[in-house]
Amino acid sequence: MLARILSATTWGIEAKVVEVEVDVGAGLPAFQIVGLPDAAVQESRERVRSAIKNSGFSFPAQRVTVNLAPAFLKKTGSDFDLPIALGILLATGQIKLASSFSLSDLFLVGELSLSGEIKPVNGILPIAHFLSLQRKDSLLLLSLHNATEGALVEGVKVFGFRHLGEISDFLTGKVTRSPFVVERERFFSFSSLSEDLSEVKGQKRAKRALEIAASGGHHLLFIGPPGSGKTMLARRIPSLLPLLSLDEAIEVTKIHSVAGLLSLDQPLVTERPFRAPHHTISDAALIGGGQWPRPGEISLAHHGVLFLDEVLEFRRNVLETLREPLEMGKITVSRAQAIITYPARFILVLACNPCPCGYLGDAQRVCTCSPRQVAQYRSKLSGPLLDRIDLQVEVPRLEVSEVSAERKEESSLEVRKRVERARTIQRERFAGDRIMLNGDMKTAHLKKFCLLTREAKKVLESSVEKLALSMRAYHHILKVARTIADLEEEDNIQVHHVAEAIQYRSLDRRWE
Amino acid sequence: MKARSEELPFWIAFNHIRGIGPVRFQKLLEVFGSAKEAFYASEKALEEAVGRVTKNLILEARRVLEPQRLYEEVERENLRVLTVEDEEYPMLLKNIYRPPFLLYLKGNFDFSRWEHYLAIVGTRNPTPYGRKVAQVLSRELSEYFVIVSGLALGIDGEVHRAVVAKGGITIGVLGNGLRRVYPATHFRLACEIIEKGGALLSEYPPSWEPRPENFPPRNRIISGLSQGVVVVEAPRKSGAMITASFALEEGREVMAVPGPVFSPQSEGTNALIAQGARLVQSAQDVCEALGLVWQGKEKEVLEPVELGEKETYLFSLIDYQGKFKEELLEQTSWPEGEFFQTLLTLEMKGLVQEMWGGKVVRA
Ligand SMILES: Nc1ncnc2c1ncn2[C@@H]1O[C@H](COP(=O)(O)OP(=O)(O)O)[C@@H](O)[C@H]1O
Ligand SMILES: [Mg+2]
Repeated sequence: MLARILSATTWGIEAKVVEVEVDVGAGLPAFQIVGLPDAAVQESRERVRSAIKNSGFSFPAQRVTVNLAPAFLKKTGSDFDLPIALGILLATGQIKLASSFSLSDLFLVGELSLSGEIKPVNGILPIAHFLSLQRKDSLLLLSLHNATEGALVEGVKVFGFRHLGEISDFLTGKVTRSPFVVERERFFSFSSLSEDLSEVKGQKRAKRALEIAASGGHHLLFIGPPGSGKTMLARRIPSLLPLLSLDEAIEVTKIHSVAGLLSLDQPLVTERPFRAPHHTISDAALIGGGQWPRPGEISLAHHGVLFLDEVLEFRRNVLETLREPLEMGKITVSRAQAIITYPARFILVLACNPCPCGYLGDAQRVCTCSPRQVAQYRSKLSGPLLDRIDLQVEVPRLEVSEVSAERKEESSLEVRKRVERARTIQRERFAGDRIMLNGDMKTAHLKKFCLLTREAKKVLESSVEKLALSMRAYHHILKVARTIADLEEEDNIQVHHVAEAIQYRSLDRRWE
Repeated sequence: MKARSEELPFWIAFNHIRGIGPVRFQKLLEVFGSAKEAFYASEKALEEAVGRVTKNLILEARRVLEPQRLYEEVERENLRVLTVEDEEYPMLLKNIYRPPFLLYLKGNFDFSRWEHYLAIVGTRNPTPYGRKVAQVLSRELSEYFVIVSGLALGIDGEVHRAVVAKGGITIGVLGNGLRRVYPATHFRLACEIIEKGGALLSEYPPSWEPRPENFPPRNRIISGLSQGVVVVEAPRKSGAMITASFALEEGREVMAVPGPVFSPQSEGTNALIAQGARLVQSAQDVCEALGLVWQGKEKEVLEPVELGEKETYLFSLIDYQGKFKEELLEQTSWPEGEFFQTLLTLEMKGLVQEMWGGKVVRA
């Protein structure tokens, strides 16, 4: 007897249908799986055999052949345990499908334990999303633990089960159920728990830079001694960005789902991600990779913030890999097995000390570096990655008394309102162009969108000359000035916008 | 010297031997009559003349050095070599105790054409005040003197830059061979010095790297070339202070610019003044100390700068020690745009200066 069951697997953050064909026939007892399965899929034979026995069914003493199609698609993981087991039960006639079901509408995804329990797997959201678009009204049968994640998208009926026996009762019509429902809005209410800008005392200038970065999507560099609050500030950027829309949340959740990073009680990622990989990270872990390419930190930071603390400690070649995603907003990872594209659009925040010992310019501690060491250190800070940074901000270390002072600081919510306004202006301005934010502008856009008043132009040109700023600095200044003007809802860039933007280019000055 | 062309390769060879300086070289010349004779002298004769240790140095050198090759290398580098016996060797330097027996010179510069030489030196790590003083003094004094300094970061750099900008002549004395410029950031400056008719000078073979022990002798050359030394800013322990003490030993005029008593970078200069160095408040003071008639204005008066109300207020908050923009922004409690525009105006008018690390100081 032959049974044909549908399942699905993830491909990047998309999904593809997999057909599980089970043939039970005469011959010496054997159990084999064909169709480009990986080692984890092979292991499912033992799980399926025990699960079937331990659920009150019997495993056929016949020749069992499972084919996973299409054959060219690499199948990985334990997702196919459930469809394989069900296929065997149908092929051996131990289960008879109730007439209200049609096998072509049923999709099964799940791992089995030896006792027949159905366990959750990664990547359910991409699969559910795919079904909702391509196979409207299909039924997705999976672990109860995956049900919430699967039910996040509309247009697919999700049923969650604890045990193989429960599925059998459902499919034979012994028990009727209605699809699993979740209130998506419920998950968005968690957002208010995140860290708030008001917890940072003082640091007016650094906070202002955060506001500008969040508004225009500008990448940012913090230069400051240890303990000055660089990490604390960076962590709060997500709270200044507009809340994720449902579509964005689903996109982010899909990435986290594929990476296996969703928590069971919060299966929808509703907060903007903040990722801070350590400087010992490999390039595969940063940009994505592995034999079967998984999303890296840059994709996990999609729609959020990627924070590289102690940026000079990262290996050069690791930093180099960031160029493509910074340019394209996505990354294509190719391995022998597959070529996969993951989205990767994030605000990059870098942090470093002002000098090798860390205390240059500190009010309380003496810097022990020689001028030559400082100059060398500074020169390390240049390079292709720094070329993408619009804002360079020094963060001084505050006195303890200032940090503990009781005073009213602006909340993230208040700042976010201004950020949202500035983003609306940008959306309207760039409606006809392929960019969204000021930080994305290329040279051609600068001419078109960065109109300066005559006075502002004069100030910009004379400062570039007097402060010996580079031509490169000129472009960064224009972009940032554009965002500052947007925050004030001004059409043209004025002198004080330019003056402020210049203050964020300290690395481009001539220091000797 | 015997036929110069025959001798020079051997002078250069001896210059390549670490451990042979003016004293031992002089002794060798006295005993053997020429560098060539000394280079090829018998072991016994050498040991008698300069002792076992130096003899071994020379024997080793004989094994590894080829005088003719070294000479050709120097030619290829486009360097001029001045021996202490040459006419062109700078007079003032020849008069010091044990002058270097060999100098390498890059640039189209002739010591005999100029009469007045002044060294202006200071710390590698100056305050904006020190930089400003170095600029003003160098600019004005370059009309009276060839300005000598050490091409180091900090004050030295400001000195050379100011002279070159004025089209004046300046000499950079290096603690390494002339094949390369240290620090590398001063490469362009070094080129400009030569373009403007100045020179780079070193007593070390072209290929030698800078070493810490090269700097005191280098400083001795700086003071030795000059009638006087002006120390602009220097902590108590610094190369500039060594230059000043050499100048004192050689009877050259030692001059110093006073600074705030709280500033570590002025501890050395203030101490020099306390010990009797001449106090320098203007270029005119320097000229007069060295017996030249000052022909400039009575004293450089800074052009009055027009300041608006906001600019005056912000300027009043900024001191010479520096304040973080952060603090200033809080103190004024102005909107960012207004604050940064006012700050930029002050900076453009040259009244304040931003420092690496985020502080703003009075310039
Ligand atoms: N402006 C500030 N307001 C409140 N706390 C601060 C501030 N700056 C620093 N801190 C405290 O100091 C700690 C160290 O800051 P951190 O962000 O780790 O510094 P950095 O990353 O620059 O080394 C923070 O966890 C916080 O408790
Ligand atoms: Mg930190």
